Amino acid sequence: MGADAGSGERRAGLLLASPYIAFLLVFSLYPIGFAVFLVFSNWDLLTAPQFAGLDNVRTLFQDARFWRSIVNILVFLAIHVPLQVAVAVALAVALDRPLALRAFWRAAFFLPVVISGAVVTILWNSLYATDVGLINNVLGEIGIGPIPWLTDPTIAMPAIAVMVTWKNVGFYVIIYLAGLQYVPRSCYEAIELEGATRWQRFRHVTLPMLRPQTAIVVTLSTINGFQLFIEPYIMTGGGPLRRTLSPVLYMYKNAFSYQKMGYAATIGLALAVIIAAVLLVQRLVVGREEPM
Amino acid sequence: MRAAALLLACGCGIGAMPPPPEVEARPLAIELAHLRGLGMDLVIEGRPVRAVALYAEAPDYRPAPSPARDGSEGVACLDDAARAAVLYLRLYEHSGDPSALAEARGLLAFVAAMEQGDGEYVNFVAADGAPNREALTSRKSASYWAARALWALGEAVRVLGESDPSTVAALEPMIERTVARIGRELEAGELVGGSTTATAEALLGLLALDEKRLAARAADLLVARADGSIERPPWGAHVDPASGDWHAWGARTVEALARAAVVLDRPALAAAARREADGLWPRLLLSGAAPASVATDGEVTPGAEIAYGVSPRVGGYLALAAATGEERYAELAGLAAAWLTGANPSGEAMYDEASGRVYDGVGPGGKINRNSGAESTVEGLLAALAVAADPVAAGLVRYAPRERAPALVARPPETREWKGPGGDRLILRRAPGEPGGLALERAGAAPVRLTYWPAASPVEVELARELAASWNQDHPDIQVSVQPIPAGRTSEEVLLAAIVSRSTPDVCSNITAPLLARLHRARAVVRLDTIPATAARLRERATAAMIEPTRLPDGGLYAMPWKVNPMMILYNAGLLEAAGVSPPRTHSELLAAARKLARDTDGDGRLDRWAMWMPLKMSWHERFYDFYPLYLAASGGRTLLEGGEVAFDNRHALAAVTLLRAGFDARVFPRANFSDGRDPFLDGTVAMKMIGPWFLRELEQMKDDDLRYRVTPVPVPDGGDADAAATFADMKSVVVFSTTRHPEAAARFVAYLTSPEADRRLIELTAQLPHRRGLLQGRRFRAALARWPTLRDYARRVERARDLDLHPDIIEILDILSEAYEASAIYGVEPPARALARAADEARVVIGGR
Repeated sequence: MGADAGSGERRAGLLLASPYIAFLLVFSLYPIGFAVFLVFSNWDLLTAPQFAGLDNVRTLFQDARFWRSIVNILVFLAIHVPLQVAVAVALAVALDRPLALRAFWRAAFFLPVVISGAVVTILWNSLYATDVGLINNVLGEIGIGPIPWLTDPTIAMPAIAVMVTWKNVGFYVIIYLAGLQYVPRSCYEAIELEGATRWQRFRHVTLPMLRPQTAIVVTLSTINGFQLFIEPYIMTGGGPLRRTLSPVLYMYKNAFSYQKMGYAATIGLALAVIIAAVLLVQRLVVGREEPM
Repeated sequence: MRAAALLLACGCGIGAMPPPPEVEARPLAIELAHLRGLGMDLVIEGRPVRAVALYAEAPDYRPAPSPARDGSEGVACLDDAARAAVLYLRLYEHSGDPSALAEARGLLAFVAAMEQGDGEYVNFVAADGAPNREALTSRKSASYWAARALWALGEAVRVLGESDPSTVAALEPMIERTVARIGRELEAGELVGGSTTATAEALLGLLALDEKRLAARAADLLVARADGSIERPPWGAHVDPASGDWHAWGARTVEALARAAVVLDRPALAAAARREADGLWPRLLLSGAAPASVATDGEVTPGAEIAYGVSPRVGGYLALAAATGEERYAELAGLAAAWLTGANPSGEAMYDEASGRVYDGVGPGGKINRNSGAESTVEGLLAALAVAADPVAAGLVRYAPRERAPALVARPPETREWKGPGGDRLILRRAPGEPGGLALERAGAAPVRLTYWPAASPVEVELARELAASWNQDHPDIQVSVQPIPAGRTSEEVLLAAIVSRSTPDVCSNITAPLLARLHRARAVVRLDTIPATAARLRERATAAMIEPTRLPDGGLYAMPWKVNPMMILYNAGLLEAAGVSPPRTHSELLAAARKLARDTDGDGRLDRWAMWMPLKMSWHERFYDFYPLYLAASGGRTLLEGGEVAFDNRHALAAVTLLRAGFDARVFPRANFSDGRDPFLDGTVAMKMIGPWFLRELEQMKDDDLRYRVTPVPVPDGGDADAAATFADMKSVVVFSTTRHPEAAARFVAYLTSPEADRRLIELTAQLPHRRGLLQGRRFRAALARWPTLRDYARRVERARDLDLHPDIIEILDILSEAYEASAIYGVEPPARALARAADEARVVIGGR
């Protein structure tokens, strides 16, 4: 009887879990398996795949464009992640204080997150325009520029990093705002009794208390950063001098411009391995705090 | 993970495309081997000429002279040579084949040599080159052979007038004397040689020469030769005054009058031509007979049927189709020409497509005379060539009557059933008042529905809808629905997705070279040069040289080249004049002009006007606006690959990159992108841009009234000739996808989309140019081209335009080149030669990796 009840429960459990299991099989496991299969194949989308052994892997190791894209994305992350953390923390702290129209400001900063990436990119393309862009017009008023934001090889990737930071910052502000609610008042009271300045309050209480949120922000913005695609795709095409070529853009080009699905899958899997390695290192550097 | 999911979606498409349904009909081959075998070299009064032997008897078909029973007139005659010249000229016009041109020149020399200094001609010549001035069929006169000479000379001027002026110039004295001599007859109200048929051929020559006054005179004389009515013999036929009979042999009156209606802009002449074509000729098709003559009382002269009696009817029908726009006449031309393939009393082909022989005749009982002389061969090939270049006629040329037994011309049956190579049934029904006097019904065929995807740009959708509506109205049996290519970043991506999901349309008209190479590799498209309608359109529309680059590795043509937009330098005439520079034609001139044009107009110490805008974006297609046209102009049209191997690491590419680098180094080309949506040419920020004619439409809509613009060819390296240079044109083609269930119907629609009328609308609506030879010749496209300023200049470049190589890796190779160009020309971080060499090495790796 007891055994029957247990088995019935298992069946019911399996039944209830089956939609998710099916989803997992179809949309996760099968694609991953298929991508692994493609790593060992040449496939142009139109004709049947052909076995290619380790050719794609060998090509990857010798492909200067792929390694350039990895360097590019590391440069991007080196700018974007610290900037993202700094701006998100600063905005969260500012928005956590009593402020006129606080709800409006919170919504305003979150708005870019829900706007299509393509729309944001096209908008910033206009802002960055060398000839009539708003940024250069403002700088021109104080005698600076014009600066070729997207056509100077040394500036293009930082310019993209700034734009991506602006677009995503609202999401991370929400995370930090949630974290700020859990900072005990007693900690602030204690440090105030010691005569701490506002900076010292921030440096020695707020920041350490937001360390779990920072770990999340760093992890998420790194993962998202590795997936950089739409911005260089629309703004620069990977130029100038390949300096904004991201791994995903390069994977896309191989898959859909060059019809090299096998090689694109190889890039995709290599990217997954690199992301895992970078996150591992980050976890060691940023801390081991469990997320909230 | 997202990428993997994407790959999964694509995974559904693993596997080859299904083969397209079989097409039973095949195009009519034009084979010249036998005619070339009849060719001979002669020397007439010291001048080397070409001629054609009169006869060739089965089974060995050795060239033979006039036999003793005919009075040994000679070895060759003007009658045959002139028509052979017309044939070779038309072949050259269609194909650009230099051997056809050489034959035509030699035969025209023969024609000229037979002229006697006063516009009269002798017909026969002996083997030693001596003209036969004695025989009745040869003596000096301004009669049959003079009229035929005039026809050949006129065709020479029409076809060679622009491309071979020296040949034409040599013929000018003979032409002047012949026109004057024959003109005297016409002015006197006399038919040439007293013959309706000779006058018709003379009229064809006068029309080709654009001798409108005399042509009008000849046409009026011919109109008066029509006799009878729809019901009364000889049923509107144009009869000879001497006998009062209609002669089938050389009965080119209908053709001549129909052509005159167009050239002289007198529609009444087409109506006069229709009297015969709608009266007598339907009786011939219904009765299944091709008699030599018809008397005024309707009596038919019995005898053998010969190509000389059939070919003029084919030409007449096709000329009427062109003059009236009635497709029915083209259909009837196909059925009339079917005599060559088996629609004759024997039921066997009179034209051997393998050898090019046209047999001398077939008796009423079906016995074929398998000799193959010059006249039969030339006349048969003239008909075959005309039909093979007409998509409608070509589709019917292999039909044959179900019953071979001929009926009386005077009392033909009301209907006659024909059947096609795939078993299709076609009922001809007598229908007085209809074009051709006949109705055509396709028996038992269910209506076909096709889907057509044009490019999604509004103007091309408008064009597509207009053309499809017109087609649907005229073709209730094949209905076409238009759906713009679904939204996507590029058509290529959308179409590839459609292929993967097997949701391709029947027809699509936005196919680029890189995509075509991939579609072919995937067996996703139908071969078009083996389907009669599209094969005919290819022949009619472009020379072999124009078509050759669109052949895929198996030699087949899988796309109908549709539009071609050659790049030129568009310049602001006001800015160039103000700077005191001429439109640049060489690299040095371009740089010199650029230095003069670059200005700091507001005095802030920075340049704010430049000579030319070169896009800084790196996508492969951006090189269509800077490097690639310059490369093609420098290389004489040599593309990036040769035989599938990298060929761009050469001095031509080096010259192009070096020029661009010099411009960027000197800061006369802006090293910055302009904001999206802004065109710096329109506001005068740049004085020149490299662009195709499609921009004219936008330019006319957007420009200020005081912006004056012109175009000049893409500059060439110093010492080169810009006028003769090649340029880039992003060609778009029409394909039939192999998923179609109706390849033949789809091919017919493709042929319609690329017809002269559709091409005219393409020009008028979009300011884009069809991939068509002779755009500037004649009056067919004159008004349409005049609709857009500078479009005629663009049209001059069409036949010199080159596209990308048809190679599946060409996009990646262009991306690689684009990066080399960027590093070397724009940013100057790598010497041009090294950058090109590196790009070539990378491209070789890409090709080798396939």
